[in-house]
Amino acid sequence: MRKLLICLATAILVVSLGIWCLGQELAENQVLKVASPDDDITGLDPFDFLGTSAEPMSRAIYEGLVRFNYGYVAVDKMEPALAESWEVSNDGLVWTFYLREGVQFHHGYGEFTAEDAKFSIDRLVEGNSRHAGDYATVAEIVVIDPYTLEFLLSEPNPFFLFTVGNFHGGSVVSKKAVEELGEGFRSMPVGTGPFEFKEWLSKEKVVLEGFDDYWRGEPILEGIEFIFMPDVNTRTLALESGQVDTATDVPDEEEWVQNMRDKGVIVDALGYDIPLLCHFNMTVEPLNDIRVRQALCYAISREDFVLFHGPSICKPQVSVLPPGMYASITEGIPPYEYDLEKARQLLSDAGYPNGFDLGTALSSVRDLYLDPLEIIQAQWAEIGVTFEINAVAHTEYHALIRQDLSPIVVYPGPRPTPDMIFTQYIHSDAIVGKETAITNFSHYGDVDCDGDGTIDSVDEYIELARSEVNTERQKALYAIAQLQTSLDVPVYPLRVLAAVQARQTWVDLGHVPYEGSYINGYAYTELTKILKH
Amino acid sequence: MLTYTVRRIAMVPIVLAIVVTIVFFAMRMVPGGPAYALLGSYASAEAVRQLEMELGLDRPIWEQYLTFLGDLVRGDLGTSIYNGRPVGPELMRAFPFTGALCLATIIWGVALGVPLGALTAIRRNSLWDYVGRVVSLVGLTVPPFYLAILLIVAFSLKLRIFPMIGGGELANPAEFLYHLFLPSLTLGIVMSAFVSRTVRAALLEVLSTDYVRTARSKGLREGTVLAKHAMRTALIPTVAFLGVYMTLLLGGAVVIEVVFSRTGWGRILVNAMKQRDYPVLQAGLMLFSAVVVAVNLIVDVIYTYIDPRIKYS
Amino acid sequence: MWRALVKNRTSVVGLVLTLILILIAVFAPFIAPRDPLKQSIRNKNEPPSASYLLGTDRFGRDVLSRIIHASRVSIGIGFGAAFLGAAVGTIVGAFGTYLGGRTEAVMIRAIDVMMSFPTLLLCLLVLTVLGSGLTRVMLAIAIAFIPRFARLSRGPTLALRNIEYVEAARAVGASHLRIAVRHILPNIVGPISVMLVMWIASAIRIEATLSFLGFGVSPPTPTWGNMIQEGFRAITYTPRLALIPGFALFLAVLGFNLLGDGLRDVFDPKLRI
Repeated sequence: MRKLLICLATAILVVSLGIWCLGQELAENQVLKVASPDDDITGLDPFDFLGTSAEPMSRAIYEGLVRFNYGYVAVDKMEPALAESWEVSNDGLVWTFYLREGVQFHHGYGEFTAEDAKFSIDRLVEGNSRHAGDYATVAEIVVIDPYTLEFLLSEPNPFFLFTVGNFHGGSVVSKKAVEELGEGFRSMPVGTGPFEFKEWLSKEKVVLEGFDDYWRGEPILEGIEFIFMPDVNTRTLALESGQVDTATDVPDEEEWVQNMRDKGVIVDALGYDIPLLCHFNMTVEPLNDIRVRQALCYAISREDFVLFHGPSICKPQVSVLPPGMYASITEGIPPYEYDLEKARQLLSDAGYPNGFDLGTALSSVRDLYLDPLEIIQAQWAEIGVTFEINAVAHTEYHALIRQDLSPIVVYPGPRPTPDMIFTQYIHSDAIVGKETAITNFSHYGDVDCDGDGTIDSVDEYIELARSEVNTERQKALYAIAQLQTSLDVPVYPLRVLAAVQARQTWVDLGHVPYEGSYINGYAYTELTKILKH
Repeated sequence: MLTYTVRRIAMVPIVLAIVVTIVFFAMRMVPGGPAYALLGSYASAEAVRQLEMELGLDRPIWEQYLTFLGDLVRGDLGTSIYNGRPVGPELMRAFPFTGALCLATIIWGVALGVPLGALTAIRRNSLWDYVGRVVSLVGLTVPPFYLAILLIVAFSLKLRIFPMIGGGELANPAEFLYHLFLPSLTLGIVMSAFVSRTVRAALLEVLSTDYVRTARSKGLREGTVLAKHAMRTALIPTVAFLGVYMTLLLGGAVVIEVVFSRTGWGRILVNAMKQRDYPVLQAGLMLFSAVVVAVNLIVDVIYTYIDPRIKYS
Repeated sequence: MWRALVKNRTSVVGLVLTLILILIAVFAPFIAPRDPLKQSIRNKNEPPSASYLLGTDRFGRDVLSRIIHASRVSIGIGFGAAFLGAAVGTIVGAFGTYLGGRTEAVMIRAIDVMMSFPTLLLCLLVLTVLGSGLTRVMLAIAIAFIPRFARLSRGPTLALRNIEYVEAARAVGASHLRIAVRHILPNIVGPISVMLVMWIASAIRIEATLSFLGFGVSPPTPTWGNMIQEGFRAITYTPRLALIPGFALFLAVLGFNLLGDGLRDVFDPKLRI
């Protein structure tokens, strides 16, 4: 018997060792391994909305007429990309771009010309893409000659350059490839960027190869593998053990960041752009009473949020526009600082001396949504305001909150411009349930917030600011909008998070990482390389 | 025997039809359709409406069902709503990964479980017995996902021996096995617990029977007695329970594939549920139950050949 | 009977363990030193100290209190799911088998269909359709258990179906229902109960896995499963957050398994699974 056991144990050991030895034979090369947080991507066509995992891929495959500058993302710091230079008319209605010559598309689809640039945006509008709204002010795009392109706007748009950058709809696609491949373009993208698409193994990985004819120069990397790793713990462990080179969508906690740094992994905390707004559904009693909302604000401690994530990656957010964003102000905005006494007093004034029950608040199962709601729940319990949390599947969450089914909505959706933030969260057209609904969960703009008998709204300021060319006037308009919003308290801004990305010390990006969290993940360029390690 | 097998096979399409129909209607009653999975936090009412129209989800449910059946008859398993790719080839591509995982798990389960069970049976009530039974309890009590993380931390992180991500490529068998090691070991430990208990119980029964005692009294060496008679009888219930183990296995495979980021049917199905990807879920569940039913049937047939005591009426 | 039970070492250990756990679960609000939901973010991720015996989690909640309260939920779900599944499954299985003929055939097919899904997958499917939350998790696990108990109850029912006193009762004119309830059910409760204990252990484990996959009980209600899930992210720098609830889970599942083993050894040595 004993002999049998020894034989068996030896056999197992030998087999394991053998497999391990075989594994060690695998070669090392300049292929970057990126841990992607989703199970899979939905496709790589810029026509569609691309999620967290697909955006870094898109940035490696496509380019825009201009590109965001590394460092601080601002519309006045955009750099030339497919366009060498540009000019805008005095009335702000005509933008002329002088395009680069000799830029090649991937997979032999020929040279980039103004036709491709025009096609890329026209197809968004004609096909009613999710990004079509960005080009609402573009009346016509005119091809002057193969390397000159003109945009005729119906009204001035100070943020116009954003829409032709390497983000969302601005990605330039090959007209020939789209016409040839049709639906197939989604899984066989053709752009002008430093990396060509090679293959997409569903739920496994997306493989890109260095594009030798890239106009800025042949990339140093041979290729990039975006590996799908949906479990956040796996991404953490893979980083620590060096089995991936970079990772995005990592835990937003300082302990995690510190641990990684201790283990020799570089963690970049970029920008402070992931805002968090707590929307009060003002059609739900007693949230329609401004005193109640103010009380709830006083009962929230922003400091706790900052402590929860850690002061090195989290700052309080006082205004609807996150700090650091263009036109964001803090002066004059009532902060509603943590004050339980005041909160209880206000509740009492409103007729709820012992608090009240709000029913059930919806949340997604994702931490980004669930954690803040848990914190708020604990904080409001101190003044007797209670609610249950129902954490549902992410897709279900987005469906249900748009059906007005939650008394409060804690929503982190970052947006790059003040106009997008106000239009989607604060403008009355965006109220959930309407034809034009986007993400206004509070019903602000349609209700009487302060009990004075009139409907409160900042719609006109939003609309005026949208097309105001003069920056001073525009900032003033946004300032008024922010002030009014903070006085009416349809939403309570909580905190802004830095976008946390991690990479190994041997990853040299070749540039300073983007300071902007709505640009998910790192940008991989022709200069990115893997150092010896 | 033959008529029984034929009848069992004939049941398969009916079973599948019921399963798929139930899933079809149930999923469409759940809030949060696939449009939200595709649009995420950018979902505006208009975008959702348009997307649902494009996907054909705004048509009456019976019409959708009939279209689905029509496609199915023509061999078209549908297209994933989430990534726009045909479901059939995707499932086929992932099948070897799950299949290999199950096969390797069974090998581990038997390789670890049989000797463990034998040890605890033969050295009954000794220290070996208790140690062995405690070890097998680990497999029974610790949930597979927990065991997986512990093994990853130990072998992949601290010792850097085996990888923790992915399944490798079929084209490269060495890499494939390399990535298979830890995941299959995890599930194998769990399975070995069940196997060892079955083997132990069966062996205990056999070892006390008359003919074994007679064989011993005749002077045959312990080894021969064991190998020839006892083990063969003890292995019969192990095979019988393979069918039961299969369902346990596949449940475990789901979690293991998520933790190790391996492609596989388990992971595909779980994601389809989360993202409300109806075509993938329908086709996936259908193929899944087909495979399970088939495997069960094969196991049953093998079992009747091994154990002549069983008769199916 | 009790003497036999006590003599068996396995069952004693199991019995003691499960009794302790049940007591903890029942008296949780009195045993736990603090409110398991109260946050103190200032004190997040603190190691064990005099004021927080097992330290705090990432919201600054007391881990010890949460573990104790989690026992309520996890064991409660375990019991609830197992009993519900057993009750429905046994009744359906016994009744169907007893009635025989076409009813029995249909029932067998239905059982086969449901059994062709792994328990976990079936639970996930049910939870996807019904939504999550404590009662739904219990329901989902119970539903997955029903066919298994139905099949389990077939054996004993088959044995009893043709026994003389049943035939005599039929001759006298007793209805099927009466016979099932008075003669069949009481006799199969025995063997089923033995299995029930093991299934409670199984249910507790399944709940943990469901929480891990994101289908479990909503926070902030603590279950061992979602505590493990939350703790995993810190496994390399604050391992106790995942190890402690993992250990609690291990003890509970172990206890019920050992008890089940012991019961089986005493009552029905032939059931060797």
